[in-house]
Amino acid sequence: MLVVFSALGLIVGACSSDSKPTSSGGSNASSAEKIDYTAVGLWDDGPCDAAKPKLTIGLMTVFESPVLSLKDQADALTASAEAFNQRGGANGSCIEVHNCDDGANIDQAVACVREIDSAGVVATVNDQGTAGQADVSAAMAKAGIPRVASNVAQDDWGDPNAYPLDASGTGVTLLQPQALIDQGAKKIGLVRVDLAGASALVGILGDVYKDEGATFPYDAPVPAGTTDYSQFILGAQNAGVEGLSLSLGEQEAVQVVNAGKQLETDLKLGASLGTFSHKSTSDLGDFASKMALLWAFPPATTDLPVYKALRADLAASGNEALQTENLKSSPMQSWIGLYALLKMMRDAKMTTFTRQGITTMLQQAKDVPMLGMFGDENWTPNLDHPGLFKRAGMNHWASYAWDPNASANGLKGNFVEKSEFSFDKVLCGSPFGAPPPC
Amino acid sequence: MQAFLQFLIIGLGAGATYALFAQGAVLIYRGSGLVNFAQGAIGTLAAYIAFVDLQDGQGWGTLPALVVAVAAAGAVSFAFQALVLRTLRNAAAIVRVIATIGLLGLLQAVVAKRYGVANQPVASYLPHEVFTWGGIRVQEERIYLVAITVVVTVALWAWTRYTRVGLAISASAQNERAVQTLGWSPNRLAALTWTIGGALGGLAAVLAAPLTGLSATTFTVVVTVAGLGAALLGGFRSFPLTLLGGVIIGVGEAMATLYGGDITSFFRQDQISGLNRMPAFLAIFILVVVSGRGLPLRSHVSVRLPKLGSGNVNVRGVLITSAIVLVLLFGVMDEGWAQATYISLASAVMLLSIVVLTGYAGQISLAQWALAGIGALIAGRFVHAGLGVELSILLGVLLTIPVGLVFAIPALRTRGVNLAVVTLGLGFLVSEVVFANPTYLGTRLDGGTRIGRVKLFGLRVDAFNHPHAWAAVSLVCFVFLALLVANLRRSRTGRRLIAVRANERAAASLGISVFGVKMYAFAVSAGLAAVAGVLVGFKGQVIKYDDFNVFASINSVGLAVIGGLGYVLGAAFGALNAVGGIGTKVIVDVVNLEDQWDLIIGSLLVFVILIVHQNGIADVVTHNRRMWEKLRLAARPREHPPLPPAEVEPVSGATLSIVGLTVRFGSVMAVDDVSLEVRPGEVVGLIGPNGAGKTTLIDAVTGFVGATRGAISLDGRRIDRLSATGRARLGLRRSFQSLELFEDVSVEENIRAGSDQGSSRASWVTDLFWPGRHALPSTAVAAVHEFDLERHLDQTPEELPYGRRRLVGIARTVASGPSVVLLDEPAAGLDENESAELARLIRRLADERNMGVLLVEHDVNLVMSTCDRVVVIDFGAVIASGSPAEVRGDQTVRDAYLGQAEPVEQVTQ
Repeated sequence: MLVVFSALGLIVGACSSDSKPTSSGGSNASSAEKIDYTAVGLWDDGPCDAAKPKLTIGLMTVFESPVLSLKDQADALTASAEAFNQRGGANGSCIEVHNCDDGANIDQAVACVREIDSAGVVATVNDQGTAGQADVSAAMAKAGIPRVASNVAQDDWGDPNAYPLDASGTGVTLLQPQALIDQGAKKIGLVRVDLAGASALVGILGDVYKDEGATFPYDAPVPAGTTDYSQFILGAQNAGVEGLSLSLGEQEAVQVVNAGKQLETDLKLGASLGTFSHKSTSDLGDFASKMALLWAFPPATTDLPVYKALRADLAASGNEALQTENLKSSPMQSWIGLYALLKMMRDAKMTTFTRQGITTMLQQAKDVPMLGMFGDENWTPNLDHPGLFKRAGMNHWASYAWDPNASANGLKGNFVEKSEFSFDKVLCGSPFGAPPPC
Repeated sequence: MQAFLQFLIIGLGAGATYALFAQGAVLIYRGSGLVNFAQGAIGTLAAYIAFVDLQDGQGWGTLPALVVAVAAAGAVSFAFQALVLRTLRNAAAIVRVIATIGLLGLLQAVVAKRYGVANQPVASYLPHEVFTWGGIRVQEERIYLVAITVVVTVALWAWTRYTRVGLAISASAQNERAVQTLGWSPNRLAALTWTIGGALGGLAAVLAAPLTGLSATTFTVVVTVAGLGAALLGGFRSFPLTLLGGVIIGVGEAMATLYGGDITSFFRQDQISGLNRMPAFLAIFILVVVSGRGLPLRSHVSVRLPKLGSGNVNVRGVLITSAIVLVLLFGVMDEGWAQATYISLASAVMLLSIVVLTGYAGQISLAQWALAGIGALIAGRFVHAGLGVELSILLGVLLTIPVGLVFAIPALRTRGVNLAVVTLGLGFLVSEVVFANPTYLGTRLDGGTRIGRVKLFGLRVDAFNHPHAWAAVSLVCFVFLALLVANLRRSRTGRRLIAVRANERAAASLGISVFGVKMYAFAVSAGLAAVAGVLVGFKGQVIKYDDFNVFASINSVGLAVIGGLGYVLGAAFGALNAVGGIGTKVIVDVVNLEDQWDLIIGSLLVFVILIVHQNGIADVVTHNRRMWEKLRLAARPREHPPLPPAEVEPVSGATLSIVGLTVRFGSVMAVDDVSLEVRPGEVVGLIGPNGAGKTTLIDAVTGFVGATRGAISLDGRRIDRLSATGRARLGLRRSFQSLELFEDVSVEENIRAGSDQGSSRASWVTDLFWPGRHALPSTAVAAVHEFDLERHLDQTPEELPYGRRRLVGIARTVASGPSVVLLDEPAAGLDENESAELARLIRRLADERNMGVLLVEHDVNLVMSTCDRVVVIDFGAVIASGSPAEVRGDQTVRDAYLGQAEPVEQVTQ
C-alpha cells in the first residue's frame, strides 16, 4: 500500500527542468540585491579556506529520464555549496559536492552508492533514490553515510539513517486532496501514474479524508504512450468530480493541465510545486487560477527574508533552471538542506567531518532554526512521527493558489498561500497516522 | 450517450494517430517486406527537429519547420535503406529487421544525447480551438488529425492500387526478380518506400507531439504498442484496414477508460491494470489465432535465418574459460566490473532462450523478458511466502513453462512478422496487466516482490552486497544452461526443431509434429528466460519489474543476432553488448565515454556486425577456429565415420487407397472425385497438365490441405482425419516439387530428420542432458547408399548441384522406410541422364524395398518407363487410367495432355 507514497512520491514530488546555462548569470529579480546575511538568519564569514580539510557531501538521483529529471536538484546543491563557500563554507572548510546519476536504474543506483562511498562523501544532502531504494538505503546505512534532507520513500520511512526535512513527494501525494478541499473541492478525482500499487491510492485517500466528507469517485491511471490526455479531464468531468489530484510526473501533469486549459474545464487541478514553477504557472494564463498547488515550504517567489539568499545563491550559478522564475521545490530543498546541515555544524563547532561525527550531530540536534520556511516550525532531524511515516520531517505543509494580479521580485503574478496544515494532523485517525486525539 | 460520443471522438483522434504511424510502416513493409521498428524513432527525430531546432532554435514558422522535419525523416529513412539495408539485401529477413532495431537504438540515443530524455510539452501545429457540439466538447485538432489520416490512407491506397510504381512496389516485396524483369529496380522501389514511409513517420510524429509531448521514447511506444497492432490488423498490406485497426485500438482504449470503473467493479477487482490496452490486443490476438493456419500454404516462402552452429562442446575449453572468468572475477575485478559481469551473464542466459526459440526452432518472440519477469515473479512470490530460495527458483522456472506455452498459441497458427508482433503485444500486456498490478506482485507495500537478501545453499550471494558471488552464480547458470542448449542442438529433438525452423511443411511430411516442436521450443525457452528473470530480479531485496519490458525483449533479439542466433557461443558474445554489461563498462570506464555514447556505439556496432558478418560474431569465431584449437578451447569437428553397408530390407507394405477424393477451394474444384490405389511394390504415375490438381491431390492425401469429400486409407485404416504428421508417422511420406530441404544443416542431418523415428516422449527432456550419438538407422543408411550421398553427408544442401539436391530430397523422404511415398515432380530440373538414373532408383524403391510409389511427373518418358500404372487427371478429375501403354494410346489423354505427337519412345526399364 505504501508504495503509493514511495513511487508516486518520487514522481510527484520531483521537478524536472533543463539545466541549460544562461549568459545572464542570474535572475533579474534578486542577483543585484545586497543581502544582509546575518539579518536573514545566515552568516558571512568570507571565503572558505582551501587548506582546511574539505567537507565532502553528495547527492544521488536520476538526472534525466522520461518520467523524472532531477539534475536541477544536483545542480542546486553544487550552486549552494559554491555560494556557502563564499561565506565561510563549513566552519571555514570548503564544501565539495559529489553528485551521481542513478539513471532510475537499480544497478546504476547501487553503483552510485559505491561511488559516493569511495569518493569519501560524509553525508548526502537532498538525495533522491529513484530505483532500488531498499538496497540503496541499506547500502548507505551500511557505509554509515547519513542522508540529510533526503527524500524519503517507502523503504526509508523507518530508516534511522534518513533525516528528511519533510515528507516531500509522498507528502504531496497524500496531502494534495487537502489542498483541493481547502479550495472548495470535495468530490475529488485521481489521475495517477500507472504503477504497481498506485491503484491503492484512491482507497487510502478515501480513508484519510472521509471525516472531511471528501469522496474519490474517479481514478484513472495514465499508461505509457498515452496519446490524448484530454480523456482524463473529460472522464473526471463525466464522473462529476470538482477537483482533480494529479499524481503524475511533471510532463504528464503538464499535459493534463494543458488539456484542462484547452477544454476550459471548471475542475480544480491539484499539483505540486515540485512540478510548477512561477513561470510554468504563469504561462497557463487565466487557467492558472484553477490550480491548487502544494508543498512543505513556500515557493521561491515568496517574500521571505531568507529566500533572498536562496534565490541569489541559486541564480548566481547562471543555470536557467535555478533562476527564480523557474525554481521548483526540489532544487530549493538542496539549498535548504545544505543550510540546515551547515547550521548544525556551525552550532556544534564541527571542524572534523566524519560520517560518524555527522550522524551523532544529527541525532543530537534539536530545533534547528528554519527561518520561517516551514511556518513557525523548526527542525529536529532525529524525530520520529507517530504512525507509519516515521521519518516524515517537519509537519508544516501549505497550499497555494495563483494570483495573477500579485507580483513578486519583479515578476508578474504570484502564488498566495491558501491554507496551512500539519502532516500529523491530516493523518490523525487514519490507518497511517496516530490514533486520535493527535 | 453524450459521454460515449465524447470518448468516441477521443478514441478516433488517438486511433488516427496510431494509424498514421502505422501507414508508414505498412508502406515500408509492402515495399521491402520488413517491419520497421525504427518508425517511431524516425518520427521522434523529425519532431525534435521541427519543434526544438527549427521553431525554438531558428524561429521558423510552422509550415517550413514541418516540411523540413518531414523531409529530414524521409532522408534518414532513405539513408538507412541505402547504406545499411541495401548492403543487407541478401541477408536473412531477421537480420534486416534487427538492423531496424539498431536504427531505433541509434536514433533514440542520438535524440537523448542532443535533446535530452526529459519530456517536453509542445504547442500544436493544427488549429486547436474547442467547440461544443450537442453538449460534446470537440477539440479541433483531433478532427484535423482524423482527416489527415484518412487523406493519407486514401492517397496510399490509390497510389499502390492504380499507379504503375505503386503496383511495382507491392509486387517487389513478393518477387524482386519478376519486378526486375519488368524493368523496375527493386532497390529504387525499396528506397522510395523507405523514404515516403519515413516521411510519414515524421509527419505523424510532428502532428502527434502536441498531444503526447516530446520525448525520446514516446513515439517508439506508440508505434510498438499500437501502430504495429493496427498494421497487423491490416495484414501489413491493406491501408484501409490499417486505418480501421488504428481506430479500433484507439476507440477501444478510450472506451476502456470511460467504462474502466464499471469493468473493474464487474470483475470485483480493486484494479485491472492495463485495462485500456487489453481489449484491443486480445481482439488482435484472437483474430490472428483464428485466421492463421497450422501449416503454411504451399505458396509460403520460408524465411531464411542466420546460420546454425554445430552444438559441439569442448569440455576442456569450457572449464578453462570458466576458470579464467572466475579468477578474473575474484582476483581482478572490482565491484563495478563484477556488476557488469553479472548483467552480461543474465543477458546471456536470456539470449540462450532466444537461440533455442528463434535460432533452433525459427519462432520469433518479442516477449522473452516478459516471460523472464513471470519467472522472477513466481519464484519471488514463493520466497515471499517463506519457501526456500532454491526451491522457489526451481518452481519459478518450472511454472513459467506453462506460461510459455500460452505464448506458443499464436505460433501454432501464425509465423514470421505476425508472430513477432503478436508476441510483442502479449509481452506488453504482461507488463501492463501483471507487472503493474500490485495484487499479483506481492504486498502493496513494495511495488514489487520483496524477497530479502538472497542466500543460496546457505551462502550470501545477493548482488548488491556480494556482486562477485552473484556473478559467479550467474556464470554457473550460464555454463550449465549453455551445455543443455548445445546438447539440444546435437540431439534428435534439436533436429526436429531445426526441421521446423527450416520448413514446417517438410518437417510435417517427415512425421515431425510442428505443433509439438513449437510448444516444446516455447517451453524450453520460457524456462531459460525464467532463469534469466531470476538472475535479474533476485539482485535486490525487492524484485522490480521495470527491466522486464518489451523493449528489452526487442533488444535481446538484436543481441542474439549480433552474437550469432544459431550458436550457443553467440549468447555469450551478444550479451557482452547488453546495456550495463561488459561492453558498457568498457566504453564508460576504459574508453571514458559517457552520456549515451555507450548506446550510440552499441547501435553502430550492430550495423557493423550485421554488414560485415550477418551470421554473428560466433560464426566468425568458429570459422577462424585455428587459434582456438591451438589453445584447445574449441571443439574439433567430428570426423564422419564411414557408414556400414546396409542390408536393404523390404518395408512392410501398405496399400494407399483413395476413394472419391474431392478438394474444393471456394468455387474452384481442385480435385474432383478422384479414386486410385497404390499397392506395395507398385509405382503409380499421376500425370496431367499444369493446374490439373496433381500437387493438390498429394497435399490432400498427405494432410496438407483438407479434403472436401472422399476417403483416404492406408492398409484399410482411414487416415483422412489425421494430421500431416500423423499420416507421415503411419508410413505415408512425400517429397516436394520445390525440394523444401533443410538448407541450414548438413545432408546427414536432413536424412536423420527423415529417419529420427521411435524416440520416446522422454527424449524431449533427456536430449537436453544426454543427446547421445545415434547411428543412422539401417533404412537411412540404405537410402544414403542407394542415392549415392555418402560423400555429401557433411555438406549442406546448398553446396550441392541441383541434381544431387533432388536426390537428397527423395532420400530424406524414404530414409525412415515408409510404406508409401508420394513423389512430386522429382525429375524437375534434371538432365536426361539424371532422369534415367532417378527412374532406376524409383523402380528399386518399389521392387527391392516393396514401397508403394505415387509419382507425379511431367517427364512423360520417366513416367512411362517407371510406372506400373498411370492415372491421368485434368481439371481435377480422372480422365484415364491404366498401364502406360493404355494411357499413351488413350485419345482423351492425348487431347488433354500428351498432344498429337507420336508416342514417345519407351525407355528400356
